[in-house]
Amino acid sequence: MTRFLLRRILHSVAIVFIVATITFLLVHIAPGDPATAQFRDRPVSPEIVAQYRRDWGLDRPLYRQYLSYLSNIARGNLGQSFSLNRPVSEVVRQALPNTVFLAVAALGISFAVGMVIGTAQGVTPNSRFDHTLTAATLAVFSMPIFWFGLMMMLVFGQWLGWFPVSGATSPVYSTLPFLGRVADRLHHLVLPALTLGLGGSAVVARFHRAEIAEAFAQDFIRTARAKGLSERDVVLRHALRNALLPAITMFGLSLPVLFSGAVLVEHVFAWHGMGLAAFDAVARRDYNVVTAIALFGAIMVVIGNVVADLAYRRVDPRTRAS
Amino acid sequence: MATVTKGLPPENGMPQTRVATWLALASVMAVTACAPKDAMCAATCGTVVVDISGAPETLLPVLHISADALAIGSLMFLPLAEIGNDLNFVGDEGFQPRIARSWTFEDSVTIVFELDPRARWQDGRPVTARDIEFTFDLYRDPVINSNEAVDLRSISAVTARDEHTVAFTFTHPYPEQFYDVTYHKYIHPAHLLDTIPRASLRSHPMTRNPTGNGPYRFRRWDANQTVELIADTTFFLGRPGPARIVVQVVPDQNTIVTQLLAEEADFAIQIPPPSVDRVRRARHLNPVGYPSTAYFFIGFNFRDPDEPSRPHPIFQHRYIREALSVAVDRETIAQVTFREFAGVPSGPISQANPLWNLDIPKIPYDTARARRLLAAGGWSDSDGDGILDRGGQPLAFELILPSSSPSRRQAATIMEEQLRQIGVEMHIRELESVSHIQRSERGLFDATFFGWGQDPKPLGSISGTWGSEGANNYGRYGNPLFDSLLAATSHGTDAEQIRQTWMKAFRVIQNDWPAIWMLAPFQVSAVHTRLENVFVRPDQNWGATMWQWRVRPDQMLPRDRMGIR
Repeated sequence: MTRFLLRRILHSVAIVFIVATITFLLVHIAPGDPATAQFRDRPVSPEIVAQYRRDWGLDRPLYRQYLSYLSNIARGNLGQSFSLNRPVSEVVRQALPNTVFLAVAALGISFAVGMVIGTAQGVTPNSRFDHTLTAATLAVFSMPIFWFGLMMMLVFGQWLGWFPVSGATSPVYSTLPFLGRVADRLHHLVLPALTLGLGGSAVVARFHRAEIAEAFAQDFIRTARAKGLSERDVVLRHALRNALLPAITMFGLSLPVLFSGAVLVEHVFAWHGMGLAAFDAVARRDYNVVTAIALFGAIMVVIGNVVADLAYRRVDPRTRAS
Repeated sequence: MATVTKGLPPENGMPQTRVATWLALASVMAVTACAPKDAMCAATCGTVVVDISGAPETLLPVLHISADALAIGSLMFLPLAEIGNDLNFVGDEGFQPRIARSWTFEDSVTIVFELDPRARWQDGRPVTARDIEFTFDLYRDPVINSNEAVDLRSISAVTARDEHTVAFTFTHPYPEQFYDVTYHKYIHPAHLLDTIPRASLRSHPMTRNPTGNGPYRFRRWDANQTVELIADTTFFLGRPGPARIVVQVVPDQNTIVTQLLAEEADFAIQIPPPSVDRVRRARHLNPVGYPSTAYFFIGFNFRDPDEPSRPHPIFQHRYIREALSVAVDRETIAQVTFREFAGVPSGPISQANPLWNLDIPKIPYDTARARRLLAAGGWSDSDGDGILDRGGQPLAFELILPSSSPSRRQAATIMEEQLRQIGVEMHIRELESVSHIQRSERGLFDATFFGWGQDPKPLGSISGTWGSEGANNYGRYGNPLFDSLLAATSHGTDAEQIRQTWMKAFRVIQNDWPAIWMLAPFQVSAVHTRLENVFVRPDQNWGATMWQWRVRPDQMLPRDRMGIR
């Protein structure tokens, strides 16, 4: 186990280094720079633009910028945001809780809803019920997520007035007592979490349906039924448990996807998390923020994979021996 | 001037209740005392929620880059005098006293300001002449690299004569002296900032938690999300109207409109033209229209993008530029893309600029003239493919534009068809917005669909974008006569003579056809009907006037009362 973990950590460090380097190069070779992006609306004197580039070290050769970037990263210094005049670590620290909050809620919704639907479909394959749910999940899956978000906002926010249209908190959040703040945050979370989670649940349902249907064709299900177990026990204790293995892998891989996939949802709902920070940073060519968020994304992917591997080893004894 | 384009009677009582939203907050209403009763609302009350699309980069005006950062800064800081609603930039006509209570033009190169002795910093210290000296030193410091420094090049000295008197001396007489020392020059506190090294001011906590001298005090800034300001009821020019202003960053334009419709926001500075009808239909919203400071044009490149030392093979010819300009039906394009929210300019000028109304000839839509010009230049359709050619070369060029601008894409598509009618082939190439700017800056284009925002004083932006030496003159247009006329507008103080010089300059550039002057938008903001005394200045600095707005006492929302002590 220790050797396994050490090997995975070494692999992870290499992956993170490669991602950091590729991201650095990609953002720097993209057309324009922070100065071009900042002074886009009004004509400004070339001295101001040149001074801006000098101030941020953008006039230095690329290899020197890369070396200082690596050196800073090694010391845990993510640099300063060009567009927000704040340390990048602060930008990430302020955006991260919103993203985690949204991702965890959305992940919970996708797996809870997806597995219930997938199981229901898997136990009654090719029935009218199965076909109806297949059509429904495909419809949700096919919708562009920003459009789905706008529809949720229109129906449940503007027309029915059940939930706030956007934002992570209300304008008077700071004046609320603790419980009021919790209620306010949860209230604002509903629409973006449902938008992100329901899209994901369609995928989970499709996969899970196939796994359950396949499990039902196996001998151990016939044996379970022959033993006289109730159908409920057959499904929950045998079919579902067996179908859980691929779901665990999906869960591990979904975590980083939710972080990156949240960009559009965060944008539409003005949910100030990592996705929105990345979106703004790319538009403003805020190199340090873009590279920091990519680095963070890489770390999330690596952690997600390790967690999935560990969970797999725990659930499936066959993988422990290998 | 801003005009209310639709006025509907206000609703009585609380507007459409957002039941669930307020249920979640109802429990805390009891403990957060409803301090300001309606009776007190004649003075200061209510919360105005403003939606902006991008996070401000700073709250110190001297460091601002974006218009919204400046607007928020101007809620907390004051200039010596505030520009009038007509944005006049010649002399001091229309300017209103702020930190200065009066001023005199001592001679043609000296203005003396008498500071208002009531002016205070929000920590209680008086605003003095030392703050003025410090502020202008700050604005002119190359380390600070302020956007506004360019206006201060003609100031030779700023001298405190006593604690409340300060004199500005200029290098020469010119019409915009007063404008240069007041417009966007917000007075900063010397006693709080002078010990901070200038090089580290940009990242100093003071930029995110400032102490100002204006109608609002800083309360909190949740990075990238919300800025909250509270009225300073001791403000020396009178009690501000709204007790609290909350500025929310909402990046998506559709979401901003939906927030306004759902009454989660009270004001947004810019509504996209396709959404204006949604705003008009809402009983609780007023669309407020006013001329924009932006104008859009299709700039021709005078240099060959492949070999900049050579003239452009097509656009070096004045008759081709003229033919293309008169072959485009700009009125129709403006109508289709911006509906009634755009005009057609006759030169590089926005609708908000006082020069918009100069008597400059209109550019006609005349395809017959375009055909004649091209035929006289030897262009004909020799191979019958519908495209003119000469010496085997088709009359074709590429137009670059930003993919982020649907209106420009739509305008270019219509223009493509209109040019095809006279036998000119235009290829449209959409680029990511920063890439578009970069290619334009580097002259890597035949024609570029570009837009500029203009300050009320047009000289800086016009000489920077169309003067021979202009750093933002991406098409490399140059005419010494135009340059000399521009230079002449900055000498003397006779307003009529300056207008005449501007008219001559516009006629010269119009006659050179360096661009097709496409559109000058008319901007629309949305304001909740529960706000009154609303005025939005055409330069989009919504913060400069917001302290004079009022929340109607009979249209208070729960958020108006919460947490205001």
